[in-house]
Amino acid sequence: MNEHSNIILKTENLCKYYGAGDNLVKAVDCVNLAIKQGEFLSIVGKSGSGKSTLLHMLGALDNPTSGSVWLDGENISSFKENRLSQIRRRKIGFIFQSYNLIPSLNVWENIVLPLGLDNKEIDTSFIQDIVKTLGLDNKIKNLPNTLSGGQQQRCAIARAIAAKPSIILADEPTGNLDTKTGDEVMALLKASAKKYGQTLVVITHNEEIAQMADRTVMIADGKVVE
Amino acid sequence: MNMIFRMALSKLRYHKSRTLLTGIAIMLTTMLLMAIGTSGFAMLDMNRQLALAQSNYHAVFRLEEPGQLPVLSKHIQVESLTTIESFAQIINGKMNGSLNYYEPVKDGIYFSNLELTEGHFPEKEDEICSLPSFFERIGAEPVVGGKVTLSFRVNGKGEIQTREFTISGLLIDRDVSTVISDSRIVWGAYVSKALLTSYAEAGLYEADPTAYLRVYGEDMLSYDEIEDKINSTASDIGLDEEQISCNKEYLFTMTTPDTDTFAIIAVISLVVILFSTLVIYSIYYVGVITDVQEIGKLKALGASRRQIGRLLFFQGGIVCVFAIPLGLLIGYLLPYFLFPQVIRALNATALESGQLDHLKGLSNQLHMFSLPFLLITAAAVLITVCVSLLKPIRMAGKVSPAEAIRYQENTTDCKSRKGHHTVKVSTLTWANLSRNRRRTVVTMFTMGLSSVLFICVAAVLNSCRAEDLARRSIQEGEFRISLDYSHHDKEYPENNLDMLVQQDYFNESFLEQLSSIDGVESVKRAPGNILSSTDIESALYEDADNRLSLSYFTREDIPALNEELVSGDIDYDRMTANNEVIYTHAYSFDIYGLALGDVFPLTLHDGDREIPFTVTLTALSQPENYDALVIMTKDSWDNLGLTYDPTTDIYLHVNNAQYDNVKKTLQDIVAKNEHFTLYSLDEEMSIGRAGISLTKYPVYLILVLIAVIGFMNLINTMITSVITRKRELGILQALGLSNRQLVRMLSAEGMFFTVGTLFISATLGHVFGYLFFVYAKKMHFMSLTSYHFPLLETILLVLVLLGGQTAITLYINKKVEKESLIERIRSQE
Amino acid sequence: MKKSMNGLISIKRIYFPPAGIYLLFALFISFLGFGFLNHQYTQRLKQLGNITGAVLSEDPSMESTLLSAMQDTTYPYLAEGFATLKQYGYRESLTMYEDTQYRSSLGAFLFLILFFLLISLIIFTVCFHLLDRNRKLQEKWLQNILEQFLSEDYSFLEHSEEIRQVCDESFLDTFLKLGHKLRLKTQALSEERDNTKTLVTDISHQLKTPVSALKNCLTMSMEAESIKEQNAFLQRCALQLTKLESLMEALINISRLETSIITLHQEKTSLSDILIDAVNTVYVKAMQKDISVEVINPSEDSAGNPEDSSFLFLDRKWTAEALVNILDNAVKYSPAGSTIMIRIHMLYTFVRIEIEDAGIGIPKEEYNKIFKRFYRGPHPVIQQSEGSGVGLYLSRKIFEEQGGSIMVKPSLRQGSIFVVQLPLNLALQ
Repeated sequence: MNEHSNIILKTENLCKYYGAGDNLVKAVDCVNLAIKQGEFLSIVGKSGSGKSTLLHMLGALDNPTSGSVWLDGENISSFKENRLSQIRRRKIGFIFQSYNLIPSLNVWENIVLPLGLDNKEIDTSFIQDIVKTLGLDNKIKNLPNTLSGGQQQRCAIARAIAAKPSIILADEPTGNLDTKTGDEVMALLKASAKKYGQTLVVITHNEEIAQMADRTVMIADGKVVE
Repeated sequence: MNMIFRMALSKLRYHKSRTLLTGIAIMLTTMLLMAIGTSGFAMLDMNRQLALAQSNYHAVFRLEEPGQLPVLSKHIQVESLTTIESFAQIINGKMNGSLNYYEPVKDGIYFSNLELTEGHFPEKEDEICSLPSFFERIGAEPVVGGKVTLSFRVNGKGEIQTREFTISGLLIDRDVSTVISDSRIVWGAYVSKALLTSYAEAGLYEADPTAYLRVYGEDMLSYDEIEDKINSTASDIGLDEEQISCNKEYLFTMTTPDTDTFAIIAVISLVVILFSTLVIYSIYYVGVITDVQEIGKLKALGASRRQIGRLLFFQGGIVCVFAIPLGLLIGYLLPYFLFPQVIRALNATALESGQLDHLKGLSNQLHMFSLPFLLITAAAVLITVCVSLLKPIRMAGKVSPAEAIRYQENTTDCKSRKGHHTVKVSTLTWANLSRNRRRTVVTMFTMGLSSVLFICVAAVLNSCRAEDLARRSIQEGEFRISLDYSHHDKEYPENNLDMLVQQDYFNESFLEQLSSIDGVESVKRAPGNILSSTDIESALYEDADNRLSLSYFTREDIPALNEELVSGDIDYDRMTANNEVIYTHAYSFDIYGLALGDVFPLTLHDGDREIPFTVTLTALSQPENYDALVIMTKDSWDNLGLTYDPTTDIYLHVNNAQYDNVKKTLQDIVAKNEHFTLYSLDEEMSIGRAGISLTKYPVYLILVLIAVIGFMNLINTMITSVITRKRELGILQALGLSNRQLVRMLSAEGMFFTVGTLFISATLGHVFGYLFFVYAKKMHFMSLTSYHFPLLETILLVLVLLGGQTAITLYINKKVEKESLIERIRSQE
Repeated sequence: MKKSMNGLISIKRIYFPPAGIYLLFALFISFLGFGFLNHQYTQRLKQLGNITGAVLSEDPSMESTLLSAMQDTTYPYLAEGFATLKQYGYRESLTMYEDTQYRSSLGAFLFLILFFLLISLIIFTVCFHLLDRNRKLQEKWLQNILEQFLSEDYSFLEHSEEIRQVCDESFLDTFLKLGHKLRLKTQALSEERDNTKTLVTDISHQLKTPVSALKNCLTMSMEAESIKEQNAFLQRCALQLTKLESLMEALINISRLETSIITLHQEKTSLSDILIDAVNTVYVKAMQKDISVEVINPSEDSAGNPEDSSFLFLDRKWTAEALVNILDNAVKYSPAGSTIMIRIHMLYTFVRIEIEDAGIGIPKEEYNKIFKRFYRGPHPVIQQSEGSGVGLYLSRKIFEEQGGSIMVKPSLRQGSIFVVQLPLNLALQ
């Protein structure tokens, strides 16, 4: 296999501008990235550097002002909303800083939610394996608000993995957690991504956490620095 | 404080939709209360004006001595005084007329038929004034200055005098001649004091003035107090109570507030207030639930419980400042423009034509504004808002800063959830609904309640049938010919029933004449009536001018009577044996202070014959179809051995195909006898229909508005549930929920409310509706007879609810879509 | 401060206008009452004249009877009079309220009183409100001043004149005294603080020159030429050889690991065994530098579930090797006599091993690089010491291969902490 075919996600001159004239803010400015299959990439930058915007565009949550995002060889920036929601539930797993679990659903339901939205059969043994891997086996009936932050984030990881997406995008996944829990969650995220063969993109401003990544990209003022 | 006020303002601006909804709810409440009250006032004013339309005197004194008039005119309690003297009887064929003298002694009494259009009241001996139609009737030209020659008998006796008069003035002509047959009209012409004096000096005329007077205090005294005042004034000048009669109808209207109207207004207002309290409460309740985090933050910054309370209070207050005046304005303008329309619409339907002539004129200048009422309404709404705010304020006060910061929208207390193996859109819907059970229940309860109310009232109104109402006046067949009779008319005793029966109008030949009309299938006499009087003192008889009509019932009527039995028992044979009677009106039974076991020594007036007859009241029943207050058994009746036929009504069954022809013929027959009145089914039906729609549409309007207020709640719940979950919905979309699925989820949530509401209204509504119907039937509301399922109304409710809910969902979805996914995910509420 | 003063209304201005209005109104009411009385009196006079005139014009002989009747307060004709009047509705029991002539004035009077009460209420409310507002403003002013005190701003002491008119004199004086005293104390305090600062700077300046002089002397003494010096050089050569050897060994390991010639045999292993192996390996080296290695395992103390906490599925040899690499570094860069701490934490899904040294520390920019192959930090101590830049890379490989991870964090003491996380759960590997 050549180098090129190994790339799962790449951007070409990706730009996102807000405002106009004097108020023009270049949140993401001409970013060219290529992420290899199975790679663990961390995107490091200070807050306001545009890393979240970049991630949102990678995850088809936001439309770029110009440039394109290629996921699995498809230019997703040209897709319609309906196709995009399909992409989101099938190919992308999201993990947010604030967990963003659905409060009215229990842990199990939260985990299988992306599958349910896609009307897919639930691969029970697979989900159970994830649940076990993430140490949530005795919590599956709990509602999210009864869980600790670490548990909630583990649940969110499980949710991101459940649909077997090709890429997991994590936005400051440890931002709301204490160091120990944060480290554990990162280790877990890394281990499970490795176990299930998923590409992992983590954005963080925490350089300690970035060390765990195979590759780190610095972003400042919307541009890739390194 | 200023800070809090500013914060309240900015919060109102931030939660625009909530502010708008609260505003609309408050506005509608105010509007409803105001509109109902204003209509009530308009109604009162209409009654007042109707009462005033005839005359505004309080009592008539038939003076016995000439000295009484000057004393009366100077009596301390007499506000105004007018005398009318009957001078002479006009002799002109069959014409019934008199020459009168009219003198306003103390100004302030008004007679609608004594208004001049031209000229002046007679001053010289040979002057006269009257209606133009009067002059036409006696063959003279109705112009001021014209000459007219009249024959008359002074004091109605002695020689016939003939004299030429000059017309000095013309009175307002009332178009009565077309309504009433000629012989029944009492024509009046007015002459001068000079004429009276000249005859009196010649010893030919003896003055016998009748004094019309008003006493002081109409606007502050009760009916009884005014009556007492009139009586004591009469006794001051030495008049018997026999000689005075009060203008009861007028006094009653002017002094007694229309309790029925007030009761209805009060009940409706209470219902409205209850609803709006519930709705406004739930809007604020939902508001506090969703704002908990913000409240917690404020608390963490040091806001006291009082300040938080004030914040909410200000929010309500500011909305009120805008909503209440607007509501008051609309609530006033609505009846201001609609009420005359309703009156006009009424005018078009066949109701008592005599009254409607006045209505036409007065409907435009109805006085319906009342500042105290306006203030009361505003206060009531303010209190409503305050009461609705109490609980939310308390709740907000209890929020602790720590709890608030980590608060994740009120979740149910349970720690876990059984859940499902897989998650579908429906799972999400259910999960969200059950997350905030209380909110769901409150919303559904308000919605359900208004729908139940709607169905409930619709059930009753739908059961109101024009035919039932028509059957009140025509109990069987298609036509009824009724004998118009008076009980105890002292001035025209020939109109009294005892005199009329002697004419034997409903004799066999008349009935045969009726049966011979082409199309008439049968002619039937209704149970007759006989006048009775009593020597004992009884409020019942006093109120009926001391003559009360009696009727009878047969054995066949007993089941119907028993069904409506209020007290006592009905045993036909015992009743016949003991001359026992049934009283047929529960309401007046209490008013007159009657009791079962009361014995009345009566005199029955069988034409010129008087039959002594003592009866005992032994039962009280409330059947619909008896005009007579007291009924005896048929056997008792037969035992009386009446000489004259007591029939007062005749029912005719006709062939429907020839209905119109028969009606025409009957109209001609009836027109020939001034004492006959014809009731035809089609006219009664249209009157009934008019009556029903007069009740139905305003009530529906109120119900619809109540429903709208309830709907505000649904809108609020749905919008809030979406706004507070904006981020959650964003997340769901980030996880791959497509727009279609989102709409599906939201409409499923709304549908749940709708279906729940419909379920409640379909079950409870119809159950309560039936119970309400049974109750209304018992109360003889609108002559209800049978229950009609309000199918059309139910379908309408379903359609409106579904439509409204879909509209809300679409609107909300539009609103959500306006924000980009990222904004939604980022929003921290 | 000035702002809050503006709203303050002097007490005089609060009390006088309402009191004035109130008095005027009371006066007005009194006049009206007097007017009523007067009106009634003249009315009575007129009626008297009218009656007298009427009676006398009919019957002049009645004059004396009439006038005596007017003046006789025993009212001998009362009963007869009312007998006639009765038919006109005049009874002795007639109340003022029933007489229309009086009723209207009575109503007006009652209305006036009600109005008066209402006005009073409004005036009182306004007064109360103003007083309340004043009080609040004063409180606010006071609070403002106090807050200025707190932030050591005493500017108000210069503008005390304007407050004098609205504040109690003695209170203000005490308050001003307090302000002055506080200002004095604050000034004294900050002077003291400044003094300390300059003192420290001076002392460190004084120290710098002698220390560098001392260091120079030491270097100079080491550069003497003798046989002893040669021996020392030889020894350094031997040292280099050993270093080379260990580097080679590390390189072989890496190449094997990366080409999967080594397979890690994960089996139920006790964490303590691994740790003991690792620590034993570096023990001698540590002893030589007088560095102690301390293992803290809180979960072992509680001894809640030793099975779970101590047994992992790991390759004992290689995991120990990976740990040895870290410990080796720690010993290498830690100063003699320091302590290397190994802390073990049981997490939900991982066991967290923290290895803290008192070494030179790693700058943040290098966090990403130290686990790279052949990377050696630019720090002179690292450059001077033996090492190939392979150890940490190897360790990371080994940990990650077993589902674990490693990262480095700064220690609160100047050294670094290496955080190793190893899965407790077989499912992760």
